[in-house]
Amino acid sequence: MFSNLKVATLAIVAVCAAASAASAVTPSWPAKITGTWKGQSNQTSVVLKISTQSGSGKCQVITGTLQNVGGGTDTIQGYYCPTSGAVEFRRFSSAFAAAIQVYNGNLNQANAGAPVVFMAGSFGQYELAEGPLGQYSFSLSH
Amino acid sequence: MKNLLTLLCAFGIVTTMAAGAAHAQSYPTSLVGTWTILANNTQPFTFTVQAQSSDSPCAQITGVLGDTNDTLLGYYCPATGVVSFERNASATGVTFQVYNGALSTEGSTLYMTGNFANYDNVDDNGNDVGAYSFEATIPGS
Repeated sequence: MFSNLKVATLAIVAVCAAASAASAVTPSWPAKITGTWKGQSNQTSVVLKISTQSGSGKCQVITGTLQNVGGGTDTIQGYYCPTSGAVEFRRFSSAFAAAIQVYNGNLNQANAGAPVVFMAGSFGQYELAEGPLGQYSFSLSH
Repeated sequence: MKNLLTLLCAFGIVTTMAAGAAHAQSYPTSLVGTWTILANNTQPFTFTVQAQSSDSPCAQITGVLGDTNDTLLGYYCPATGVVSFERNASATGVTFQVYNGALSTEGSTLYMTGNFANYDNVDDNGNDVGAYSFEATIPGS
């Protein structure tokens, strides 16, 4: 009987310790998002390459390129906020000074159980020559 | 007694449906006009939507914004009340802020509220890159 009680106590202590250890792991967003991202922008397969991330503020400037698969390459410039996972960037085509699209999304908090880092949200289409105006979804993984 | 309860229930259902219908709200068909805007911590300034196209479901809007006469380029979707526009520098045409909002009404006043992204590392007001809130109003006719 004493042995069973001891085992039960040890089991409870072990469960509590595991729960405590689990809660001690604070989910966080990636500090850097530079690299190659692939996915869909509305109906189009795209490749996003973030080449630089700079600055020391809560939100840091990002630059790179965005290419429709099989199409031309446009430049992007925006920001990423590592403390909130928010990301926004403009897409510039060489044909226009103003941004043709603006992407607004969030990063997930990837961990061992869900290791894929992805970025998802919506983008606004501002140039009629590039397609109907409005808001569309996008999703990219790294 | 049973008939009385049935009548009361029917009356309650009809009243509830009528009250719900009274709250139905449609969005304005046009945003054309001069709006006064509070954007983050700046003093109020104005922007003017000069033109709205007939494109559907979202119409193109164009205009000017602020004392610097930056150009406004974006879209408004009358069926959903969604609005989004770029603020493009008057000197270069380059987009340096993007506004995303929604329309609402109170009485005859139209409200446009949401957030804007600032892409200049440090703009004239000292704002860093990031997203900030805004509210704009225009008196109704």
